[in-house]
Amino acid sequence: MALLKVENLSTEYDTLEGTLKAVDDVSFEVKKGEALGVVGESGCGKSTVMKSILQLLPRNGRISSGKILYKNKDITGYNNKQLREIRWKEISMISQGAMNSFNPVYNIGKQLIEVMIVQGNYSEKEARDRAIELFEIVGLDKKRLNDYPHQMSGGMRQRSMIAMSLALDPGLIIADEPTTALDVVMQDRILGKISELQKKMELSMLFVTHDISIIAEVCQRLMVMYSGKIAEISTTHNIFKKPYHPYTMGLINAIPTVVEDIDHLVSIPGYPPNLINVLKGCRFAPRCPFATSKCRVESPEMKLVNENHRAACHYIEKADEFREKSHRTETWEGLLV
Amino acid sequence: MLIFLGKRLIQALIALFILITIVFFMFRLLPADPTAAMVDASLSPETQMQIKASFGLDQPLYKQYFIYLKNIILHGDFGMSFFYRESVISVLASRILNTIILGTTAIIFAYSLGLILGALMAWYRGSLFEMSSIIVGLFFKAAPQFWTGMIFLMIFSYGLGWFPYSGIREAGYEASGIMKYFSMDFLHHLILPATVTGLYYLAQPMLLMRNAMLEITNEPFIELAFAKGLPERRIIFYHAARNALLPATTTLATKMGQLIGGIVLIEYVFSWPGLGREIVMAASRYDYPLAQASFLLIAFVVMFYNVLADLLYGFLDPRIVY
Amino acid sequence: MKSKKINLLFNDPLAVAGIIILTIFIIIAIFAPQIAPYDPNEIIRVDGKIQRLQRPSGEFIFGTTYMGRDIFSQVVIGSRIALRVGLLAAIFVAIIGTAVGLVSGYYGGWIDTIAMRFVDILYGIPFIPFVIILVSLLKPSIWNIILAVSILTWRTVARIVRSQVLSIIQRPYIKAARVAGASDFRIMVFHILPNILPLIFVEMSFIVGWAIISEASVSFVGFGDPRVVSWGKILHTAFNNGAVRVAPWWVAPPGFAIVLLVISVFLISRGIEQAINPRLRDGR
Ligand SMILES: Nc1ncnc2c1ncn2[C@@H]1O[C@H](COP(=O)(O)OP(=O)(O)OP(=O)(O)O)[C@@H](O)[C@H]1O
Ligand SMILES: [Mg+2]
Repeated sequence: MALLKVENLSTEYDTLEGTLKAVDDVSFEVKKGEALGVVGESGCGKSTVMKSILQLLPRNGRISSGKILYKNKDITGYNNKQLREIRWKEISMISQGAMNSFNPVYNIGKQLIEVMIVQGNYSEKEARDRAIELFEIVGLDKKRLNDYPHQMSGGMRQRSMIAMSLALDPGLIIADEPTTALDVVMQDRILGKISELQKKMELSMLFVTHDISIIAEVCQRLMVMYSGKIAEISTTHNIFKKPYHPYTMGLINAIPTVVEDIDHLVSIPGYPPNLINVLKGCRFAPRCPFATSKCRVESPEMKLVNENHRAACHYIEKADEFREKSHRTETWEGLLV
Repeated sequence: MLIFLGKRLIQALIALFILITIVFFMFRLLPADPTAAMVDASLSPETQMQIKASFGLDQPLYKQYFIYLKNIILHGDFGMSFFYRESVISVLASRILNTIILGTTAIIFAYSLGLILGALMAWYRGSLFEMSSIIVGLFFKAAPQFWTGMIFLMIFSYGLGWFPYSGIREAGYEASGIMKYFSMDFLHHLILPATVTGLYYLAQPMLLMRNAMLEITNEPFIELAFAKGLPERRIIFYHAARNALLPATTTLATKMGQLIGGIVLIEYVFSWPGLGREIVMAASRYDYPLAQASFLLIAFVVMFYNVLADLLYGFLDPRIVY
Repeated sequence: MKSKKINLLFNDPLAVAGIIILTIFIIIAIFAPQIAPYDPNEIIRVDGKIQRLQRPSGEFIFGTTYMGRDIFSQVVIGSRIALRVGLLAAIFVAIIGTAVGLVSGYYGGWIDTIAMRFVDILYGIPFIPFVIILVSLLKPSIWNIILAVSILTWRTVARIVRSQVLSIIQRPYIKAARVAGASDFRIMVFHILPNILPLIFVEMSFIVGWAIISEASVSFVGFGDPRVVSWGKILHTAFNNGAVRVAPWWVAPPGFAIVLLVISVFLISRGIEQAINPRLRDGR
């Protein structure tokens, strides 16, 4: 049974230039105990999906249509009071800006304990004990509870953040680029920690990143987003082995270790399209080496590749051929002329 | 921390010393008759001579200066008031506390109201509430406080009869020592002048708070506070406002200085027996020793608050290291 | 570039309101003798009876004082003093403050240290008491009030100008001018000053308001120029004659005149500030 089910979600922002459709008709689900990775270039709407789930959109943003079913209940229409029952108790998050996600004027312990007391009905004493326990879980010295955020390193702050996300035993944890702000060594360690906890505690997770190489380590399933839409979604294993969407192929190609027999690495040339005046047709078409005239006029439906593999491309039957060509540098470079 | 405090105190003392010097020369050089600053012209010539000698007024200026310094610093002796015919210090002793109580109440009122309004203005930006707060703040900032005082007297004292119209306690009400400050009667007298003074200083903390809050509301930790499911009121005040406090409170010191300086007018309107009213009275009676001492004491109170405010910043922002 | 900024100022409705109000006050001040129906000091008698404390009416728009003087005429004439004090004080303050700030920021070193320590000390001096004492020592007059206000108020301008100068002298073209052999004076006046002029205007309009309130305050407590009619003095007389109890019409008009005039300069100053600082304009 699906823990979280997102159906046809669309989210918009009002901007000075017009309405920006950041998320367009996105459907996916997260099962209990699994980690779903969400990958895509910067600006493709990953964070917007996450903020829509927790309904933390800024003033100029709104969910324009779709449902978000958590434990089979649609939470999109919830009022503030109902939302507070969901927030952190049921769905917690490790946010993108975790470096600045702590309030600078209170020590970390206070902020950890706060959520347990205000949201979790813990007593002061229970909360403190739980905080110490959580710090142990994420590998931090309990003395650090008295530190202010600015006294901690980025890695420690991120660990504290993980500890906090676990505080109320939530059903689902949303981790939005939890490691982007860290240096490479620290990234590995934090990822290791998240992955270890996820497997050991059977956490359900939504794990957002723009670095597809990270996903293999952490997530059982994977969703690739492009410009507000889902390009492809399946198990991590399937996607890495046999991607069906040219965009996914491009992403995988750009990873140093996975594919060994290519000449050299290529990243996909060009930029994602403007989301205010959306072109008709497939949004990836302008950057796709295999695009045809059909792609430029007709927006592709989500197609079932097999039972748990979907991709939004007109030519999934040609995927084997594309995949072959995608390993070659010329395929992508040709686009530049 | 202690070193910082020490440095800050030394700075204040130096400033005070320079001020004492400036005041000395102001009172000696500006009036037509320099001895007028110290000697009551209405006394008999013999007594005048006697006083002149004791203040060294027959000596050259620089010697007078040292005698003046010695008297103030070593003995706290500012001379005799011409009007009250007693030592200036004993006249002013009771005035100092009255001024400090009025000033402190007013600034606390201005800042607590200003900070709360400012925080809410930012939170509910674009609302009617925001607009009207700005207008109210601006109006009281543009209106001279003595005039606001007169209007308030007109409305609340004479019109509605809610508050007494002058002084610090009802005639016939007697309480001794410090106890007189802990009575309903005193409070009743305090409310109107403190409110009027506070309203004049409302705009700045309010607007600074609003601007700081606007920036804070975009911080990731506010989003996180929402994600944590905290109640909105807790997010506004405990998380956002607490962080936005600093810019507004850094103005506390200079505002307090201005407030104590401007309190002259309020004390005058409400016949509040403080240092400010005493300055006006003394200056208009040419009671120079009293005027001079009131002025120095007001400056002293201002500096005291400046040091206090500096200490407050460290308390508010754990990131500040002295 | 300049004219674009001025355009911005005129596109801001609040700033325009401020400019209009100020202009009206200036016109009133210029034609005050023509506008005022009575001599402000005239004791008005009808059939030999002094017109004491008359309520506002067609004859006396704002009513009369205890001595039977026309309040409307007093308020009209009073605008002259308010504007004169405000503008002159602002000009003096701007000149002193800019000079000190420029020199202090440009030369740095011990000149800067001494100037800024001195400014610090000035900040410790309570304003209204200082003005009262100085005016009473020197004898009350408009010029002494302007002097007293200016002596203390240049401190703010000096600080602001100095901090601006410190950032401007880092710019390449200042260094270039130096290398090209321009004199210090030339650099300060022709290269640095034009950059901080708008900011000085912002500060000046504040000081206009500040000086008007100060003059009113000092006059109110009885140290006004005895030879002139100013808003502060009208209120002084009103207060001493118990108008708060008996004659609200005597208290309200001069006060509202001050409020309006001061708000108008606030609005103008805010308008200039937003015109020169785009961040304020867009970022609310
Ligand atoms: N508050 C906002 N107002 C207007 N547009 C916004 C806002 N927040 C995001 N957007 C736009 O919505 C789109 C999606 O943004 P989002 O932050 O969801 O992307 P993302 O995939 O999380 O990117 P990143 O990897 O940079 O975090 C972008 O085009 C962005 O410019
Ligand atoms: Mg993001």
